[in-house]
Amino acid sequence: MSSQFKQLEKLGNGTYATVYKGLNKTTGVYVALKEVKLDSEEGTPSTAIREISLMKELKHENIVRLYDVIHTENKLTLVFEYMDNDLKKYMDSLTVGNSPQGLELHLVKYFQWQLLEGLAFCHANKILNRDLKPQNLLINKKGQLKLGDFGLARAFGIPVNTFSSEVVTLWYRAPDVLMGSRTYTTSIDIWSCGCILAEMITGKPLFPGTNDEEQLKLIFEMMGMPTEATWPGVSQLPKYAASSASFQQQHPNAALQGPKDLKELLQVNCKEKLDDVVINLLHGLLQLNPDMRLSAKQALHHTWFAEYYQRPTN
Amino acid sequence: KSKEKYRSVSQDPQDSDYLDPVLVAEYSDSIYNYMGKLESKYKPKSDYMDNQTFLDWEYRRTLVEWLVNIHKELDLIPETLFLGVNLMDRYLSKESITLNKFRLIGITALFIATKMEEHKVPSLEDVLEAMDGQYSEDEIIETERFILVTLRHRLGWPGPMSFLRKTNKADDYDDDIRTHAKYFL
Repeated sequence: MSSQFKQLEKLGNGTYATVYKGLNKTTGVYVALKEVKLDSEEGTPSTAIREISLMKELKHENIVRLYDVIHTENKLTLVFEYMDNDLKKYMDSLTVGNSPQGLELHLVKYFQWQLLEGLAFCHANKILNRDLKPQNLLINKKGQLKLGDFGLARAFGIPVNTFSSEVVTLWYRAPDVLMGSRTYTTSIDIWSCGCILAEMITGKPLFPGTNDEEQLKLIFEMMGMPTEATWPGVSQLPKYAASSASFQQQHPNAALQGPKDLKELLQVNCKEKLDDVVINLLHGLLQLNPDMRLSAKQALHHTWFAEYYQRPTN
Repeated sequence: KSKEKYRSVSQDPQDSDYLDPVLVAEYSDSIYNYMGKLESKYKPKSDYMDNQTFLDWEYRRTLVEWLVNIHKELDLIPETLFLGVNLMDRYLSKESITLNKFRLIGITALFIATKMEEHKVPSLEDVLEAMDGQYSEDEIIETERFILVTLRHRLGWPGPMSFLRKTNKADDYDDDIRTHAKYFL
């Protein structure tokens, strides 16, 4: 480690590295030091190479900033902006006894706005995040939220035929990806944003599946089983037939097949009164058909955010 | 044997991950502008050979041909070759090297490019095998670091394929290697 930084406590393990809190001895500013061990067989890991080159281009208030890279013979250290907390830990800290608590709605709105701002910037810069989840959303005491951990991100428009379907933590994974679609694009991040919005409101993950099948089942129970009519082309997806059959089997009574009333369900776990506007946005983000999902830019123009975009920005 | 592993990676233009026109249309202009910016930001110097005592354009041509063959041998995607040559040229725009290091720089630049672009990154062992093991693993790994540090880890050059795809003319992948070779000459 270069003598410029003092290494402090460990903050956690990232996708391919260990993260420490650090102190810039010259400036007195805290940083996050992401340390990547270099492989003596393969050299610098491709995840690190990709993350660094992406992060070097992504400068935005709602994206955690990569200040510097220290590349020595044995170790690669990424020097990131320090953030106090992440959204997952913050929500966990609000839990009372065994019951998770949602955030206050004004904070939900501010966080969701910043999430979409950061994401719109990524998408406009041809970056798919691919792993949005509360753990990867970093927050600080000023109420700022920034996208962190681009370990799985990559530039889109690269013709890899099989974008791995192993990306994105299960709970935030879009139904098209779960059913084996390989043509996903920015819409995969939007689905995750919808899941995160619902989770901020109630404090509970919206679709906490334990495997692919259960994940799809939870989604369909809530949002209804997609058909060719609601989602043209869905029946062509590799795992559609199987998931549809098992869903019909488990829910022979069509009346119970959903979709359910999202507002009613979320209201149970939310102290404040939910209005139709936020539910409308949620539906826009959680469209089963990826073509029907809002884009980050469209979502930022949703009425729910009127108080932000109606005042001059930038 | 080692090639079998990458079979699944070779592209099929009928089945590639095209951008979803519905969603991305909205970002299309800004992405295009942004790619333009990156393209010029990461352009090598066109006259870098003037500062290279031991190299000339003829050597470079031979070297690129050699890289094209290794690229073919490893069954890599076109993006990798374009980026690899860009990284090499950018490195040579900053550092002057001796002739005996030229191949090492070239192959390492290609190796770095595989890590950026390939879905399944070939192992260093495969790369060494494809080039008949003229360099050791350690030499490549050390050179990888030199190149990355010299380029300040900035590898975001979009490359001609992104522009080609943007203009929806990307149907013609078949002549891959030949087209590339032509492009570079």
